[in-house]
Amino acid sequence: MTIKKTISSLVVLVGLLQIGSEGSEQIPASIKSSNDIAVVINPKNDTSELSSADLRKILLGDRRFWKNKAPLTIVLREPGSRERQDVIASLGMSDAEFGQHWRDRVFRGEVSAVPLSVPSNGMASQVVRDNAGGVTFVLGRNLSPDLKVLKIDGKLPGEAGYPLK
Amino acid sequence: MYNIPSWGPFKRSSVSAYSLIIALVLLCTGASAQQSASAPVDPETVKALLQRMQALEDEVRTLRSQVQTLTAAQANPAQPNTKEPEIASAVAAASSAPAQVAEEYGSHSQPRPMEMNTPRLQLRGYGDVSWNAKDLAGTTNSFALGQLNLFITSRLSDKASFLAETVIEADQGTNEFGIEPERLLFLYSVNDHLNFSVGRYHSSIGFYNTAYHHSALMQTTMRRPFLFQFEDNGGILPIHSVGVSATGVISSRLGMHYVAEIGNGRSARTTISNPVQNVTDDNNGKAFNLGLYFRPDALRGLQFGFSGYHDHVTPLLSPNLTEDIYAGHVVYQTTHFEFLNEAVLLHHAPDSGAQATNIPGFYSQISKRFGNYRPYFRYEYVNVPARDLLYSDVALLHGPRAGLRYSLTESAAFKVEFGRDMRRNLPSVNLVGTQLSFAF
Repeated sequence: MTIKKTISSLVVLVGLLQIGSEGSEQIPASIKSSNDIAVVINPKNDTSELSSADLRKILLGDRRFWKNKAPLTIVLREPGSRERQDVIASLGMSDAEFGQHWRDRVFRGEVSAVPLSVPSNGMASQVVRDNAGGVTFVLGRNLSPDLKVLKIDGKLPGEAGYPLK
Repeated sequence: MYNIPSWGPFKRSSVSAYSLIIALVLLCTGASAQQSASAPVDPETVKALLQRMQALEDEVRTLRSQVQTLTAAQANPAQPNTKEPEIASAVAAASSAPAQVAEEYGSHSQPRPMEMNTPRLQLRGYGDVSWNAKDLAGTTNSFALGQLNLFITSRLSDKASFLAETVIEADQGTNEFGIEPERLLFLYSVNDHLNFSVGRYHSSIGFYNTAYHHSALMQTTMRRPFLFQFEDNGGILPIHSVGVSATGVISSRLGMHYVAEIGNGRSARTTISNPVQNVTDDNNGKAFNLGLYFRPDALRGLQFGFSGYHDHVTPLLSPNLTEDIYAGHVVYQTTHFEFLNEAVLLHHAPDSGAQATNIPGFYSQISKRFGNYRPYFRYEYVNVPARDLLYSDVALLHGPRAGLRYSLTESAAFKVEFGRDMRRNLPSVNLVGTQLSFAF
């Protein structure tokens, strides 16, 4: 009995390791090796590309729905992380100004909540995985293979001219 | 995706199983150590591995919370039909909870997904304390408690939410406190083009009224422009209304938005009743307001728009009248600079056939931020003809305001302001005041 349990435990462990190693192979090397920040959405979302202007509208709460009518759920890393800093800096704002902007929008009744802040890339990916309208921002090397990477202005992370450096 | 049971045997495995796994890990570690001794290690690789390890640890944390949820659900005899999809949906719902929830539970303690699946009140407050003085004979300088604003939101679903702004405020004449729900709204978003709200709202006449609501902290200056003063402070516009409002985007490319409101409107200003018709309308005619505004992408920070409001007012002591209000605004606002310009024309046409009156008003406000300091200047003007049936007591009122706002923190500001009110046939009055406004 003990041997059976031991074997089953090993199978689970090996399986988990296998999943991890398979995943990393599915992400194109150019994205995986880049230092750019990928815009990541749920794979069921039929959007494949955004313009910089659309991304800005999403981040500022001016656009709250995807084209498939799913409500947008913005997931950011907690303050201090590089992903969050760079994404907010692309708006020409400091973290404090970004927070104030969203609190003001909630106060005006224009949005129901400020963007979700989570402490890890794993959690951010998990929220997007679980939420059809989720969108988050992850460094290329931390990408989860079961999520969809959006092109921004026709460029993928790692390509010249990609806006979220 | 949530194949939790695979953790089951792992969780229940014997000590010997763990020992074997630990031995394997140690073996791997040993092999790795030997490799690192023989080959140079790239710092980037180490960094990447550390990040990968961090990501894996995060995933383990997430899986643990799912296992806890599963365990709790199995242990709960009141829910014998607990199945994996339900657990998954609970975790999914937890993931879509508002940010405050993640901030509260995410970093330092285990998430509580079952609790997060229910609507949660978010409470934020605003307050201010002022000192005011003026050189008008018979007046005294006074410290003044401003509005204690309790702002409540609750996200009910992806598309529905609740909002309330309740203000506790002392009456200037009696010093007695009163409490009033200034906004109380159920909001429902169908999509970017159609958002409904039902309840008591701030009417979308111009810009100021829906930009700052009842927060002294959010507005640059100490006080609102007289044009947008609240009804119970002598204001001449229907700032509040009870009814239904719809807003949305018409053209995302042009930044074109609409707003449409239908509500009870306001009653004529009296000293004995609330001018906001919260429960009973004076007449069967409803007030409606239609507006368009633009926020073009090409010039970020710019907003301009116009609106038209129509209502029928039935005062107790004077003839009924039709009220039309036309408003236009051009606003340029960034984090460091603001230039607000609004003009309003009220048109009162008595049903008796008496001559109609026009009440023009405008204000222009400019400010620029230098670090924590923000000097500002505003000029405002309202001119009510003497024969107007509703607001003739206001007469001509115009004058400048100049001040300095100092941001103590992100949530507190100190303001000092000087002003001069000039009125028709009355001596001018100089004003000075300070204010500490804050959010909590």
